[in-house]
Amino acid sequence: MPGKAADPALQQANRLEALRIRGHRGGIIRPHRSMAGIPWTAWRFLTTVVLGLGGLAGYVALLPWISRLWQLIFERGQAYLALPIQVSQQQLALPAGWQLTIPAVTAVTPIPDNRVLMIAGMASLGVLLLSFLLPQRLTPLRYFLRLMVLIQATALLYFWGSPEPFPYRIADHVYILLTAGLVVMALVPLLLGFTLHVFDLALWRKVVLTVLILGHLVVFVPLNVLIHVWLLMHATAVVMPVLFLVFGLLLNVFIFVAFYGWALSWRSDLERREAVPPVHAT
Amino acid sequence: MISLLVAVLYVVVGVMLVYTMRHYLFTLNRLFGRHRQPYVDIGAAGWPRVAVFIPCHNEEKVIGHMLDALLACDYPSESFVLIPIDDRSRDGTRRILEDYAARFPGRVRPFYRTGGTGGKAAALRDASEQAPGSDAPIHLVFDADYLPGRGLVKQLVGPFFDPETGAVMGRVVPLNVSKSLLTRLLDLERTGGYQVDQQARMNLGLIPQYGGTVGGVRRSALQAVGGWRDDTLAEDTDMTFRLVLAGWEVAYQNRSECYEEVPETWRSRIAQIKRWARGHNQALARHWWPLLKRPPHLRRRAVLDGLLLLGVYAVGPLLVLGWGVALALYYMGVQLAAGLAAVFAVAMYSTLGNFAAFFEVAAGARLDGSRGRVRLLPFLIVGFLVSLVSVTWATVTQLATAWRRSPRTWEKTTRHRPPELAVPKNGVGEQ
Repeated sequence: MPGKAADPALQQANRLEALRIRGHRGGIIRPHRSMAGIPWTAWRFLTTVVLGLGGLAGYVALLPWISRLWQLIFERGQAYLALPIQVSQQQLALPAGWQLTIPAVTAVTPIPDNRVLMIAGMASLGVLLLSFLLPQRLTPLRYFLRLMVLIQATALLYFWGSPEPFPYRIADHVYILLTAGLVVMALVPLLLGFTLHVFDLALWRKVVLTVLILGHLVVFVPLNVLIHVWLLMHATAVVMPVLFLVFGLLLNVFIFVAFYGWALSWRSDLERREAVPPVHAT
Repeated sequence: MISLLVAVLYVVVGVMLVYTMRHYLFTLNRLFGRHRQPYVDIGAAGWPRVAVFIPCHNEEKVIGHMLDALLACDYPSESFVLIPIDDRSRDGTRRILEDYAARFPGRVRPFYRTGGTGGKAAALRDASEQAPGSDAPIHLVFDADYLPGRGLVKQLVGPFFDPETGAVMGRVVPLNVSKSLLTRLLDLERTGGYQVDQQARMNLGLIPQYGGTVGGVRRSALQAVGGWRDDTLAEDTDMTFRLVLAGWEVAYQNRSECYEEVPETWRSRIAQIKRWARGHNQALARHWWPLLKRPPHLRRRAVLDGLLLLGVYAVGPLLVLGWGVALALYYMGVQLAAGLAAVFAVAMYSTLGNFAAFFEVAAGARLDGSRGRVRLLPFLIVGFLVSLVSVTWATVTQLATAWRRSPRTWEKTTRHRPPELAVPKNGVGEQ
């Protein structure tokens, strides 16, 4: 009731409760790490939902600008890299009847001849050999190189022996990667909603991280696809499977994880508020 | 043919999504749930007699440190006997044990094996039945490279005051974290596995795993399920499920931290995870059906969790199968990622699916209060690749040689600890 003093006994109980966890120089005694948890508050729930859905809404609202930016990047990139392709536009159907324009390329997809297959085979063998020569402490790299060689070997076998023509053109490759990039970006705010925003970080940090990841991917995805196109024009479609499976969607995920790990190394809001200023010598 | 491959792929993705949901559930529970830590930090009690078993095979680099740390524990000395089991060591282990036995008569009682089946399980079986002092009602088991803190034995014995508790497991914390990228990655993995995964299972009334390296079993429970089996590579997982199926509880104590030496070389790590995979698969083959039949005392969610726990190493080959099928479909021109809905499904799996494990590890590290190491999170992917290949290879070779009954041998992890490493007089590990 407004104006009415709180029960003295309750006040004392609250003071005692606060003292129970009062530590050195006014800090808070935290529970041991084995028992620590995070309090779930209405504010945290609200910010989690608002930031998650708000981030998605913001991304959707920005899609027309992202589309224009991508178009610009493709046109400039095509000129800068002197790619023998034509850049145009294509419509992507979105849920609820929406349409989005994304870049499209028209290009002749170079199919490898015997000479290219031979060179690719020798290069793959070289990489395989290298993986065995690398020191043992680089075992993850050795395994990664062998994985690439394995996928490349399947491509070589396909182009060497398959009676069917390779089912993908550069235009398909570009379309799939751009579309997958858009979907990953749409998932970013939602994923951060229940894997990052639930932690005790300052609100502005959560917003900044969402913007950083989306901003990074908005630039990275079209540039990555352009590099793919450049490589495909020079190395032929024989490298398309490796590019698609190893250096496509996987890189986007890797970028997300790197940002996420960085963000979770930030100081929590509680730590920041509790930080005791250093004692100055007098 | 294409329909079959697509069906296989979606089954694989479905299984992965189940594991993903499990990771998310565990992590959110650990972050926001109510924690169960029964009988933790009891100071005064009528402490029961305890026998501590330490299986050793060529452990001269570490066994002295381990015994020093255990002798420094605050458990009543009259109720506490150490039984290091020397299983045909060819180095200086026996000499070290004899020295300790002479210096601490009655408290250190080595048990020497010179024959019989090799391996940790067989060593435990013999010692738990024959060693002087093994009639203690509580049997604790440590690996020889572990370094327990002063209060650890009491913490591990505490949960046994509940008469339904058959086994207790403590938390494993790497000691040699800063040695290499590998040790740092293993530190992150252990954090996710214990700080989050095991504690969440405990909170949710599921099946925490008795891990066999820092924990113990009740002797009567051990006898009730027939003692340690010597024909298994993962006696800990095997014991977990035999106890659970027989109606005993397995408790996890997150507060009971014990330091271990994680592998410092990839070669050693690969050997370790291959051994774990083979042992776990063996337990899967033995226990999935009795578990699926659901004994009346087990809740459905515990059965589901148990099956997922048993299948955790079988997921590796399944994932590789999924990748193979996806590659085949790619060459067939089946554009699973062509329609927006399909793209969404693939992206869901690629990001949300794979990401759950990162969330778990990051949450664990933050709860630990050591947030700087979370920056290494992306590197877990490279460790994951090595583990995936190793687990798959171990499983495939295990299946290929299943018909052959080869003798069990010690497949121990290489120790890297320099002999001059001193152990603080009061033990280590106290926070």
